[in-house]
Amino acid sequence: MKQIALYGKGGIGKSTTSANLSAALGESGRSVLQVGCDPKHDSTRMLMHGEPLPTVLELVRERGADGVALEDVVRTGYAGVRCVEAGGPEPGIGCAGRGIIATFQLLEQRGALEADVIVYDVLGDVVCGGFAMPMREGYAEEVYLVTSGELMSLYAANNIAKAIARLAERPRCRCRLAGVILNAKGMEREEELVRAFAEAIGSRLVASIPRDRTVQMAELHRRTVIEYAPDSAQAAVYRRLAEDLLRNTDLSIPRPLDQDALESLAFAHAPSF
Amino acid sequence: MPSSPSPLLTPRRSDGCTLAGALSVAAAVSDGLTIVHGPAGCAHHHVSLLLTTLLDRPGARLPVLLTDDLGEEEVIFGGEKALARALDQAVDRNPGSIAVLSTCVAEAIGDDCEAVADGVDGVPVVVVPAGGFLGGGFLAGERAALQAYGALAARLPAPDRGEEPVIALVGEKNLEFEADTHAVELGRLLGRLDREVGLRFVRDAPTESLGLLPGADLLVLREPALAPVAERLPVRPGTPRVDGFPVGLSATLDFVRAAGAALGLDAGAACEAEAAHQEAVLARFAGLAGSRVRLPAEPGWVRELADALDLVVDPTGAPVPLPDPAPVGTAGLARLLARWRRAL
Repeated sequence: MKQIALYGKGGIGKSTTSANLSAALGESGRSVLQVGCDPKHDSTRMLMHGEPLPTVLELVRERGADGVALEDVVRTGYAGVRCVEAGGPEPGIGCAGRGIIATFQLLEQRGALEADVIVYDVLGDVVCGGFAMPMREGYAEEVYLVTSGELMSLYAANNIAKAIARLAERPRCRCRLAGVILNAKGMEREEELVRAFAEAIGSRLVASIPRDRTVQMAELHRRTVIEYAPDSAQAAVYRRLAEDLLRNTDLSIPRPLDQDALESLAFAHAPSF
Repeated sequence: MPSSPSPLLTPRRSDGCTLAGALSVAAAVSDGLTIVHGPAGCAHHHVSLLLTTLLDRPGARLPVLLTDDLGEEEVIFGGEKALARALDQAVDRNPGSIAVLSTCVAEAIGDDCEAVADGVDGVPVVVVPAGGFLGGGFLAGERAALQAYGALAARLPAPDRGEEPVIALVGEKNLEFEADTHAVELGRLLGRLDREVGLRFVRDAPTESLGLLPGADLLVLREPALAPVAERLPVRPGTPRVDGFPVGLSATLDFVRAAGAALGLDAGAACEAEAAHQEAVLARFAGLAGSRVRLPAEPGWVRELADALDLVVDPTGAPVPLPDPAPVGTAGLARLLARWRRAL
């Protein structure tokens, strides 16, 4: 079983990448589980054709943990991908991080975390211990940082690298950095910058996903690119990513950059004006 | 947030939880109801401490306490609804006021207790942040609660105060075994000036009486460390203050003198009367003269007392106890001397 987690800045395209990755893996005959770990619970929306999933925490709140069965929270979407959404509190109240912990405990107790590949799609930054829990407790064995070439996105990716490096010091922690995925914004010298960032933190750029209108069109039709435009060049990029991730055994403990080094790196690869 | 060294665990109450400190004040409002906004176990632990202390006071009123019993659901989704439900139940009991004491859990998840309390009509509500992890311990909770009740006092209608000036005791240590004894002694000393304690802020005080605070004529603080709290109480500018209950022979006379001056009275006769009383007390213990005593510490008031009794302070002398808290007023010294006599 391969357990993959995609972390990155909010809005960078983790859910789109996760859903297309899961769809590509599902299409290839693997059993796949995608777990959305974001209170806004839209990770699996494209896999479910826009059908909103009841979230784990919503049902726990309504019925209590004992009243929630696996079939209540796990739904099957495109290409047989099983989908779960953790859910969480409304913005500005409660503790979403604790919600992630409670969700994983329930999924574990119900035996849900079984598949050839599990894809965890985790909220933007490592904002507290709760969101680091998939890494800390050994669920997310291979972490991919999804980033663009924007400084704030790299900053978030670097922060997650810090969390991985810290957690990796613990003897029982199996979490490692598996690579960096560029979800391009179309900036000049963007791939060059993200590749340099990946190497600077002791990892590598495993995929470069170009900015393509097909992604927006697929989302408008509530489909993954794999399903909406299966013969498109963008779909081929996601399929190649899926195969690369399956084969990837190049795991590392990252060496996060300090603020000055990160900014210098960005400056050195800045577009010319 | 500078890191601090691990505190040595001691049984000093002042090192205890912020919640316990806040509870010691809130539970002393005689018609009040206290809600501990947190897990039931956390509430129970601190309530147990309070009730155990109250068992030492025969006939003590048991405070009315509720908890909204926060669990994992509230931690994830926020505890404000649970607090609102508890406030509804509290209002149904028709208390004079309600205190909401937050806990570590509520503070960590950022519940806005003030906003929830603002939704209560008909019963005044005070909110005291009491998350122990925020630091400061028992004393911080005690002071935060005094501050919160001070703010409440400013919102209450002023009760009929009669002709007499209002003298307020501020910040009595409600978990002290001798808290009432100290208050009685303060009352006796003020009686030398034909004055009396008008408000105990906050001990066995009904909510309505707290409205006397803004118009108080003299504040008597339990200890000097309460000065920052007193400076923020809603009293008239220039309201006189005595910073601390008196400890020691001369300090007791100074107290009478200072209270008289603050109230615009000639305290000469009162001081003479109290000095004569002190002489009479010392005379009761004249048999101790010449005894060699070993003291665990030697603050100025102890040396003064030893000198007045012609005791010999000697590291090889007989050990005698010094109580914590220190004895208040002449009556406190008399009780201390009785203990010393037994020890010698």
